[in-house]
Amino acid sequence: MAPISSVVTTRLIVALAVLSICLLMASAAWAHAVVLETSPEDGAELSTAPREIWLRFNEPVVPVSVRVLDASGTAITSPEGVSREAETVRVALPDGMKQGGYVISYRVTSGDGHPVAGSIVFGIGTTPEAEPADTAASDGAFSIISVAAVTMRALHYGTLLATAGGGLFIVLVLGHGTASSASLTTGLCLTAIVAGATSVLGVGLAGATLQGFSVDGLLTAEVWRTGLASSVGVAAMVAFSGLLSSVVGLALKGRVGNVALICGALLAAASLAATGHAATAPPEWLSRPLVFVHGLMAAYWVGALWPLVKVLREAPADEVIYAVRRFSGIAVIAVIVLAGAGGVLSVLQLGAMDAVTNTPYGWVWLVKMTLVAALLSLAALNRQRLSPALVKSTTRDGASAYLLLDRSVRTEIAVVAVVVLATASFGLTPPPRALLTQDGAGESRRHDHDPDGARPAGERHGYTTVVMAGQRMATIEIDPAQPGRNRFKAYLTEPGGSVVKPLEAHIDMANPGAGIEPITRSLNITAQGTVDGEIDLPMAGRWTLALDVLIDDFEKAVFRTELNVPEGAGP
Amino acid sequence: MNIKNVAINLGMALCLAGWSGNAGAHGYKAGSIEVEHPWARSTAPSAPSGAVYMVLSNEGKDADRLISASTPIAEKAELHTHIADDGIMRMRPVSAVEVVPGSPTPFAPGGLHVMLLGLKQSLVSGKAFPLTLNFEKSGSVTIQVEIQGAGAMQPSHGGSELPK
Repeated sequence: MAPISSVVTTRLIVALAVLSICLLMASAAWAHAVVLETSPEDGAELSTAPREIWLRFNEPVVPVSVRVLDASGTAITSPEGVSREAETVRVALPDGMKQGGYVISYRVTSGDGHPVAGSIVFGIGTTPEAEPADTAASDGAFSIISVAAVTMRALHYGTLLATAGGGLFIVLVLGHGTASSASLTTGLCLTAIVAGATSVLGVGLAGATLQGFSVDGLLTAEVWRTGLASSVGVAAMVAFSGLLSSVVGLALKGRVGNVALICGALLAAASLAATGHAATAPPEWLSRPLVFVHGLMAAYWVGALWPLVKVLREAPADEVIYAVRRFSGIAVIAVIVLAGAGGVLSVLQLGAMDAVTNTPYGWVWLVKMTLVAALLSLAALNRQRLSPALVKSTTRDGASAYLLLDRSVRTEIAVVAVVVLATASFGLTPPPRALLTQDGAGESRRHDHDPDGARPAGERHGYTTVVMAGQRMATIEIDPAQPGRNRFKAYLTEPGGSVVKPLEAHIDMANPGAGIEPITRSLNITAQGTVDGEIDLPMAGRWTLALDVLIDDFEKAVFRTELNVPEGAGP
Repeated sequence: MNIKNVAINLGMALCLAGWSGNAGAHGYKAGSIEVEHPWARSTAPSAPSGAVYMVLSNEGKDADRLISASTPIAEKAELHTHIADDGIMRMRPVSAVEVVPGSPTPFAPGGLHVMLLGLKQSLVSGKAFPLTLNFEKSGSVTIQVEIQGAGAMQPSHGGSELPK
């Protein structure tokens, strides 16, 4: 077969496989193909990083998604690295894999088109448990794609606020059609273009992150479709229309121009409320409007800085004084509203004071607040000292008041840039409220007092739940319910309270949110009718657990529960 | 089939009908979760703690879970269960209690219960008190817990002990 047609055939097969999976998704995953052998073996501890991993099935299979994820849940392999020869699927591994735990999550179709999925866990230089969660999180957070996403987001926020706020400055401070506002047009068009371009790239990066692709995934249409369908896509479209409105507003004069500029600013603020952690913090009816207001006020302030410098340097003295006074009058209100909205959002996001010092999100917040404090001091200095001095100096020639204010506003711009970067970095880490209340586990853990001091201290971090299957009851303990190795124990009772002594028991752990297919571990059965074993939870997130117990030759019971494994919570 | 058997069957059927008819008077709903026959045993005047029993069933399609409880008559309410650990029954706090569709979760003496710690008043037979149950998805519901005699092993079905 010629190479080209072989490529076509492969693509056709993959397409058919995907189609058949879609059709079969609703039905149970009948395991028509089974894994016979893998390299590395499930649960293996390797001393050095392998070049590749492979899975051998009992029959030829078509890989649909075979990925290797590190302890933070980031895929380290690309779909292009997956190859297949008959019943063996190989995945090339990147160089420089760090010590730590990894998961091979696979989904293939067997010859009859049935999907087969599962996961295999291995460790490099360690037992296959996760790295300490905080280092794992930061390793994942600073992958190329997330650094690119943060840079892109920061650039987008900065230019979006500059464009929207520049428009507001023209409408509210300078007046549309004046010579000073005309001098801003070119600059604002430029920021609008950058803001537009970064919003488009942001969509691609969001798609790549969601699909688990790396930066080169941007070349595939699928990534862009995924990105566009996400809330980032919605935000980008709102931002785009806002930018368009602003540019039209700059071109048009008079009332229509004013309306277009204000519309642009409102849409820009709305785009910020369309996506992100802050806008989705419960209760959303409160957080979304707050993000909108926070964004609009930030736009007014941030967007005025560059025009202020421009006016300070170029406009005649009376116009400068007029502009500074007008800006300052509105800015006082804007800053109060900005800080108020930001304060409420912080409370919603952080949940508790100790989150500030205990979580990466809290650290980023602390950096932002320190810079904001500096920014507010500068603003106060400008308002209380520098602006009155400027008004007093009658001519602008040789007046140090102009130079001082110019320098101060330029410093503000520099600080604002870092504040925006910090704000963009919030996206890297989950907000503490997510860790606390994702499934109520944190909530109940806070109520999890020790009634009589009888409980060993070590159990306090674990998670205990009670699940029914028919009339049988299982009390399930997972300790410490954190990424890494966990002790699993279940007590099974019949309706009357007598213990169940099963013939066989195993547990399936999956993390659908992170795309991890079920990891199966068999459990020991003790003489007292409890089942226990060691399980590895490679990463944080919401895990679904199914405890499968064979009661006798004819009956089995499946106890299902979900477990929220928090990130970064040290033992 | 003789007359006696028919009579017994009829009697049982009537009992069941009466029982289920009464369920409405004791039943509470939070979203898709139904709380049936909440009851507690009366306590001695100085007793520091008490326990609440009931049956939780899920009428919906998705699993839910009870994550906490509270009542104004006690310092705190915890979710506890009894487990046989190495043959010894132990009481153990749990983080949550799952309520899955199709499998009602019984809270009963010797098993699951809501433990009331630091009772502010003793539980007097014939009275009732409010208890708020918080479910992960279905939200909260406040139920009235009927107090029965100290030796009771199951809820009274008559409803005659409700305070008039």
